[in-house]
Amino acid sequence: MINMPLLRWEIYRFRWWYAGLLIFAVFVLTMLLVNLTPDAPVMFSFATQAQSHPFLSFGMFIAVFWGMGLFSRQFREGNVEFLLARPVSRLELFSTLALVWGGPLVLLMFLPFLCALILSPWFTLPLHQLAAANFIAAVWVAAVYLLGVFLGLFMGRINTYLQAFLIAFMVAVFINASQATGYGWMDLNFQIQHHPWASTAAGLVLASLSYYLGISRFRGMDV
Amino acid sequence: MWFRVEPGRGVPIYVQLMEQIRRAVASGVLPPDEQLPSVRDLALQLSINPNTIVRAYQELEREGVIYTLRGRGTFVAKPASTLSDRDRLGRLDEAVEKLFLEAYHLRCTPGEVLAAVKKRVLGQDREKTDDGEEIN
Amino acid sequence: MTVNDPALLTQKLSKVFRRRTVLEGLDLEVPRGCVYALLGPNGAGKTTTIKLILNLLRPTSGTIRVLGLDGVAQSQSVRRRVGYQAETQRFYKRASVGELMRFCRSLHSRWNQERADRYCGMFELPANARVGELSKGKLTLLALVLAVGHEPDLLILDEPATGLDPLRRRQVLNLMVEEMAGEGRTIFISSHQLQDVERIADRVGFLVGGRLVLSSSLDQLLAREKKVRVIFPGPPPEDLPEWPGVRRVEREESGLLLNLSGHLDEVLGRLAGSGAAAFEVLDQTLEDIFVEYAGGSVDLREEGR
Repeated sequence: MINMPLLRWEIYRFRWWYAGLLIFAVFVLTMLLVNLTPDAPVMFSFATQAQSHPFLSFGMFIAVFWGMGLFSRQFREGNVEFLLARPVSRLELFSTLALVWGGPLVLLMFLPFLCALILSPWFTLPLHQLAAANFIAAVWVAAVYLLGVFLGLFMGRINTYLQAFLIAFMVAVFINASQATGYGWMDLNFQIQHHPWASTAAGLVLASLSYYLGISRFRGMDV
Repeated sequence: MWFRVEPGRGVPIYVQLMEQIRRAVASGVLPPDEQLPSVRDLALQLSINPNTIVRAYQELEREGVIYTLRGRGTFVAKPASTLSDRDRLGRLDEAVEKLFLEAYHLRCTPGEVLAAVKKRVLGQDREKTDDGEEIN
Repeated sequence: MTVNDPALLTQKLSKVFRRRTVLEGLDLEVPRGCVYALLGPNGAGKTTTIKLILNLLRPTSGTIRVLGLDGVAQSQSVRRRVGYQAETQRFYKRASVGELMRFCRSLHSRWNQERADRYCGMFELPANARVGELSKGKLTLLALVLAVGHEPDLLILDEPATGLDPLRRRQVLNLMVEEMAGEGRTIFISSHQLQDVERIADRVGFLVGGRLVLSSSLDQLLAREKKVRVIFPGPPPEDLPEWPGVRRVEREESGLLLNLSGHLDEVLGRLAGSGAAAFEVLDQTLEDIFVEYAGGSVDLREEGR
């Protein structure tokens, strides 16, 4: 399903980008660790009590637009036509490119867990819960990313309208989520905490559906 | 051996090649038993499809202008015409027809045409005798 | 898939973009081991045909078989054995020639690096040159090398002479000659360089307005398409335009110009029998035939009639 030579090539092409991302991750990690005192309860709490993911909403926001940009860029640069003239199947192409672009983003969701892992010699931390919570967050980021990839396959004007709509929608989600201190079905962090299995299932369903839609559209497209 | 073909003349390339080889053989530039370039070499030299050369060689072999030795190559044949009299004279008639059309367009008189032909034929014979004897 | 399968076979292939019909009922057959040139005016559908062969575009209707395989369902297998050089090159500008070639090599199981290196040397494509810095002509040549590197059974070239100077065009022709040395290798070209086509093609097809109006061996085509200039002292035969073989009759100052497609000897005989004073047979170059079949008027005086 993944084309290994293509994977290696894309990673090689973006090696500096990956390096930068790694530095960024280290930076975020350092920030989280440095702010780790009982006086900064929010930061401390997320690392220790798996309360809420510090950047889930932000991550999802980025993920959608990041996904939408994937294929518009690939088509613009002529890479898709180049690769599809070679013995690369459309499935391989779609999956490999999506993985290369979205993989790091999804992995970033595990930063809190990594942070806790580093702290674990000094504190007792609920590592398993944290891992699970981060995992669900990662699933949701992946799902939203794949949704973005699918939406990004509609080129031209539709793409612009979709982007505008998404911005409005996400902003609404943000506002709603930040206002909802208690209950609000939009608050994903809340859902992950209280209904982990349902959240995971919903996330996986959205991810699979988005992937399936993306692959179907890509397969049927004229290049 | 330098051949030349011109696309865009309306004459198929294999015909042009055949004409050139025939002319080279007739004028002695390609003596009997001289080896012709291989199909591949000639194709690369002229930048043309090898099948074209194969066809030209095959036709020329059928006419008896050249012969092939399997594994060795293609060579010029000795100048014995294997065409029947009918074919030979038929070809000659075609050439004469072309000459006639050309002359018609140039508005030449029959006298001018005959004079030109006579001059050429006699000129050829004059070249053939070494001791300068005139032939008429 | 057997060796006897044609290299390319399309049946009633059609492609419609939105409401524009670009290809209609295309029945194209390209036998193995030949060089087939697809000619036609701009916009006739040549690039569309090629993209359909590679499954870059989906057919609206009809079937495509490439080297005995289904062009749609088995497209990945098809592309393993097909080399493609696009009309315009856009790819991976920041990569170097060497890197790009290594990448292409990794995508195929069969690759002839020695030959690719030789071509790169011949075309002066240094391994450390950035793709984005190459001129248009060099990009075309690079695309060609990348297309032949895996020794494809079918080589598809879309306007291979784009942006090339005469020396490079000859080198490209010679590359095609060398590629033909392989067993059963087939080359499919779309080109406007008719002189090059005459040198290298075995068969030609004319695509005009999305339809294949002509497909024949080049030699037969040149033998068949003739013009005859004829002078009648009196009125010409009434039914002359309907004689078999006569496609068109044009009036000239001193006589008539007949466009013939075959039946040359018959027509000449009938002309002689109908009292023609003189006639002249004119060979048609591929360019003449192209202009004739592509339709449209070359005579600017006729515009606006």
